[in-house]
Amino acid sequence: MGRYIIRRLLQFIPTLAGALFLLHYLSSLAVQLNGNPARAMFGDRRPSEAMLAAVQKLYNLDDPCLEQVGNPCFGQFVNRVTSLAQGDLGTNFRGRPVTEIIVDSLPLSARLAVIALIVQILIGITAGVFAGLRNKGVIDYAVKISTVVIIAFPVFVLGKVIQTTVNVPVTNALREASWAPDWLGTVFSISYQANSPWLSLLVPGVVLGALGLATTARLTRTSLIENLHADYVRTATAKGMPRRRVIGVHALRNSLIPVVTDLGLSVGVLLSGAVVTEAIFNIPGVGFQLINAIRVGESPVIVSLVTFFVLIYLVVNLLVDLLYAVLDPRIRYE
Amino acid sequence: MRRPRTITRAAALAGAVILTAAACGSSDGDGDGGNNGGNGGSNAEGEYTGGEVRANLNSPQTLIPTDTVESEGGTVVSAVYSGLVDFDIDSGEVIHLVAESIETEDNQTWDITVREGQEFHNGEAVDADAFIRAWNYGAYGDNAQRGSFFFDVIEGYDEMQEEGSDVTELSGLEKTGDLTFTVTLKSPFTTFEVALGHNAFMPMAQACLDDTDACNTEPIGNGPFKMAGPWEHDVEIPLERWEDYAGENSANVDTLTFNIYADAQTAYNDLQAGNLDVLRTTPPELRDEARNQFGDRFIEVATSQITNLAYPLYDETFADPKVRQALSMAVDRQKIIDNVLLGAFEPADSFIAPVIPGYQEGVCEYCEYDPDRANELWDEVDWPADKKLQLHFHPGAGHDEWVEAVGIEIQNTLGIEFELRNELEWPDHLNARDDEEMEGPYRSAWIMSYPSQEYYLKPLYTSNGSSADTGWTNEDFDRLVREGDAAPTLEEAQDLYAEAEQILMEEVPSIPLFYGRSSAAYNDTVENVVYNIYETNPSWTDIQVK
Repeated sequence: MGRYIIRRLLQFIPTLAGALFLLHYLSSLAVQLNGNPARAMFGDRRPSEAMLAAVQKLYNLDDPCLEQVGNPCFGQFVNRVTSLAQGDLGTNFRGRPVTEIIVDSLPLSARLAVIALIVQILIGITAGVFAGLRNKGVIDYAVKISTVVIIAFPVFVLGKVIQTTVNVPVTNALREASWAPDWLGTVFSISYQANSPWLSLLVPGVVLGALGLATTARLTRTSLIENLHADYVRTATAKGMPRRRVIGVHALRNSLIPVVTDLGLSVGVLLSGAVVTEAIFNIPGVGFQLINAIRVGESPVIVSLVTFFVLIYLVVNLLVDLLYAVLDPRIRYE
Repeated sequence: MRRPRTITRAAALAGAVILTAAACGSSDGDGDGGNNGGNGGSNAEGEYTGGEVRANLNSPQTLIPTDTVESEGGTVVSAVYSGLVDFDIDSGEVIHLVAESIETEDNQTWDITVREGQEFHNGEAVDADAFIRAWNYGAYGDNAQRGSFFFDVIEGYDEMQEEGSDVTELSGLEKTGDLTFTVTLKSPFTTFEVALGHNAFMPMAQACLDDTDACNTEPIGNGPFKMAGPWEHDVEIPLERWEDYAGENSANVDTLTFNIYADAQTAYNDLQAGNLDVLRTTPPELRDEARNQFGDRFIEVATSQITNLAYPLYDETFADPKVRQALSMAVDRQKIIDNVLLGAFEPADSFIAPVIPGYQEGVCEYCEYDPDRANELWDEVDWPADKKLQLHFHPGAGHDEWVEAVGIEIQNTLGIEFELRNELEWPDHLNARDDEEMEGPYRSAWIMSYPSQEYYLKPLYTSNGSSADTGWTNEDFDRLVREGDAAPTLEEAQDLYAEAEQILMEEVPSIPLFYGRSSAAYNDTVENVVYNIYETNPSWTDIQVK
């Protein structure tokens, strides 16, 4: 087990290095193809050449390789990796260190992802189990139909609709209502409130969780139905084991393997879904930072954040693989 | 009645009658009824009410005045700093704020006296040094301050801009006393007094210069509001009333907090839910809804922004002024505004925005939609057969629809085909403009930095204008602008600039299309909301809490 983990961790290094280079190459290419973002900072008001040169220098946009399309800018890559190794991730165009951006934004996105995952697990798996137990029953159809509806809604539509049709009227109603406790208002706040870091993320978290909820429910359902017909379940039932234990311990535990795989993969979906959800609910998390950085072409932010995403993805997938062994005793890692 | 927001003793003596009259006029037209006299008590005079105000903001680029060239940073800077001059909210005329006097005989050498007893929020004195150090910092090339071009008019600027230059002080600035200094310009520039109203000319505390990063996060200003804490990136910028403010435009509320939003719709929803008191700008697609919902708490105003389609005059096809006139007259601007731009603009009828003193209403005869005349002119020109009109703009900024509508208008009126050219992203689009590579009319927009016609004429259309990229040159125009710069008084300058504008009207180096319209909305938690067009914001010092 320990050896396996070490081997997997060592594999992170080439993966991260590859991702880093690819991101560096793409962001250089973006400058080469779209033009130097330093010029765009001035807009219609043309800067003098000296001014432009000074700003390009300030943001490391003065390397001549940025004018040659396809040039991978190895010199800049070496600089980037050297300063990364020293813990310096650069700054955005507002002069804000990227490390500070990550430190400020990551906890927000992490909380949002945790809420989303809890929603996905609690509601998704429960709905899946009930649907699976009563195959072709009323609950089964209800789950099937509602999941199709949720899947059909893009997250930005869901977010905006909930914000305007639920949060705004509820907040207004609560202001009039003297019985309502303050925390209830926070739950339905339109944008993120820094002084209530969990409550004000509840609605956005549910919206984000709804993204993967449907898949989780359906996977649980199918997998459970399949396992309920398996030999070991029949054996357990024949032994006279209570139904609750047969389903909860034997059938469900095995059925969760594909679900856990999907949950691991959905961390990626959550990160990308967060880009949209965070913008709608004004949550300055990593997705919010990433979309802003892409809009103005802040390559230090883009490269660092996405590399960070890759790292998270790698860690989560390692955890998923380790969970397999917990869920299925037949799986062993040497 | 609203108290005039910025009157110094000197200005009060000089123009008390005019200003008082102007102030009375505005309170009638504000549309914020109810608070004008009717309420009694302290509110009636626009007095201090205390309370908290929340308004929206997009993420600013920076809060260092000399680096601030966009609206969001500018909003905070003008609340936290007070400059030498400000503009009267109604007339746009220059009012002395921190300046005791600004005197000149030849419009080239300016003697500036700073009012006595002014301080920064940290207790440092606002004196001649405070301005000299700020302007030197802003003008020095290696500091890469984006507002540095404002100092271009001052002697010694060019030497400081050279890369790695060891000249760190403007030779045109000379301290003559604790509170007095002399500014020597490269050439006479009557409008300099107006230009001083831009944020780039704000003073700077020594503590700010010593640690500009800290000062960017928590500016040390001298304005009616001070920071109530550091700028929390992407969250909020908290300001509070500065109790010791020595000026007369002190704030009426205790705190002013700018909540930072990335999405305009979210800010609007927060206004509806009462989490915001003031929405600085309503997104165009929500204006109809906001107008209905907020009634007279919805303020719509024309801004100083103008959108043009500029001609590439380095291209022979557009050399004949009749081509340019005909194309301009072929476009029904109002129709495009109504059908495509959601009413968020006004048709342009001049090269200068209506809020600028000296704007001449309806002066641009070729800006008027006149298909018959357009066709008459078109019959006289030599437009290559089968040549498609290329219309350039950059993608992803909401220009696609209206540029296409302009193309369709021209096609319908003159019968020539057009092609939309948005293959270049914003930076490269700008590079192509700078490098004179456009093949047809291109979108070009301009917004004032200080209310003067000069700012709309000189940078864009003079032969060596700092942002001139059409390739159009005209000696008479250059001469008139030069004469306007050197005119003895602002009034005479206005006349000369107006004369220069006449040449633009005939020559049409670009097609004036639309003036921007901004719209603020506010909840009934606040009152006395007066829109300050010169800051494109509600006046933060006037606003009161109910």
